[in-house]
Amino acid sequence: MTHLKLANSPLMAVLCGLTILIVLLQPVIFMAAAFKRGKELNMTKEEMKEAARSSAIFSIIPSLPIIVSYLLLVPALGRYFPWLRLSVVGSAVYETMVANMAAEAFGLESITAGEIPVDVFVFILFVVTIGILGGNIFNVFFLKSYDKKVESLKSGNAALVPVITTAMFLGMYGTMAAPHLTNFSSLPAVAAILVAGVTAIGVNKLAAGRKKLKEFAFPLSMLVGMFASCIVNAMIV
Amino acid sequence: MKERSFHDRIHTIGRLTVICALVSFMAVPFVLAMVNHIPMNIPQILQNAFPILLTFSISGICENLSFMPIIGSGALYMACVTGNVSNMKVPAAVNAMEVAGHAPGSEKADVVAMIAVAASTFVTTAIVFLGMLFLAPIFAPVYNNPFLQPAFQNMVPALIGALLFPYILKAPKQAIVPIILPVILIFVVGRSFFSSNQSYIMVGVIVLSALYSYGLFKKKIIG
Repeated sequence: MTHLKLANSPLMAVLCGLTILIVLLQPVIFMAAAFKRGKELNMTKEEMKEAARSSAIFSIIPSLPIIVSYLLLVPALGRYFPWLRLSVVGSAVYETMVANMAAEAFGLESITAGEIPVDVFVFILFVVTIGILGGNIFNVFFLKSYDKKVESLKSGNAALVPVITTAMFLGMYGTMAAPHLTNFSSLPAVAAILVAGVTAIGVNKLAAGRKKLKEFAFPLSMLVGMFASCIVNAMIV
Repeated sequence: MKERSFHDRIHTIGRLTVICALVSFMAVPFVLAMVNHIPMNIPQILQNAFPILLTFSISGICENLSFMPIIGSGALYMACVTGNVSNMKVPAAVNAMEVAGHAPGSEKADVVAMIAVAASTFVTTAIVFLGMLFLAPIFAPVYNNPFLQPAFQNMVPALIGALLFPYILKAPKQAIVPIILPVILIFVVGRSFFSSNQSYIMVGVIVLSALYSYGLFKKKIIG
């Protein structure tokens, strides 16, 4: 049996599909718990639905490149395993890199260099799966105690909580923004971040008092920034 | 009393569902090999997987420590199982808090973040499913269109800009250090060093940013 026949077998389709269904139980349970808790906290149903809608609309845009990266993985790993990996933790870059590392451990040139023996293929699947579980393993064992620490810091400093979380958020995305803000070798990237940012400020001003627009403000500003990078790129070339 | 029990419930749900997910991830290659009578060399698998696990764990843990106080535990449990944490799940949660008007760190914000991350997970899973069925080859020419391609290549900076700039405007004094410090750091250590160590640098910047804001608050400049 060839590794691609194995990878494209009905069994593989069932295994991957079942796993995705099991993974989806989690957001279903959490969503129900959140709605219940929201009700206890006197939040309106509309407010919570709005959060879901706004987030769902935004998520469409960053999901689209994922399906293109799916096509990159199919020739080496078959139809179903990349479907699973890109639905759960992992990315095309990670899968390709780690799958190649695993293949090299067996003296294969790469995962795309022709036929892979089936036992090596299973080995690759295992290594790719295990390699990225660290964050989740941490969560299972340590997130609760970390959360308790953070909570105990928060209690007694109620006025400080929004100040510190804002500071943390700024530190986080400030760090992520810096490589793009200083990416002078790629003006489309600089245009994307600046135009998206300025648009977001403008749209937020306009949206004051208009709930519907506020819901769309973030994805809309992002699209404007992305479009600006196309224009700048077309102007340079 | 009620507060406590909700907190504990989130962690119980989180732990159980993450364990279920991890077991089913592992079951895929395991069952595939068992049914097809393919030999598995477990020690060899572990020997090769462990160094990779270690490498990715350190940055993953740094990110989790940074994200949890902002999006809350429930949202983080989900985000880590389905991935795309910093470029989709955290922005989705922060945006939803913004739309709902709840400051991060409050319990209502945690509720909103959970709903947002769950909704985001459904959308991504559905799109990837459609991609696998038929959408990927149809969408690929749009993605590779020479005029449109920069849009997708620069999606992350556009996302960061749209998320970050309104926050800068909201807290301009607090923003000075966390925005300027990483920019200076890039010029000092170089782009490639910065990007390969970004998750560690991020923890440092977050801590300094929090201390700086704490200083501003104590001196009554903000708050």
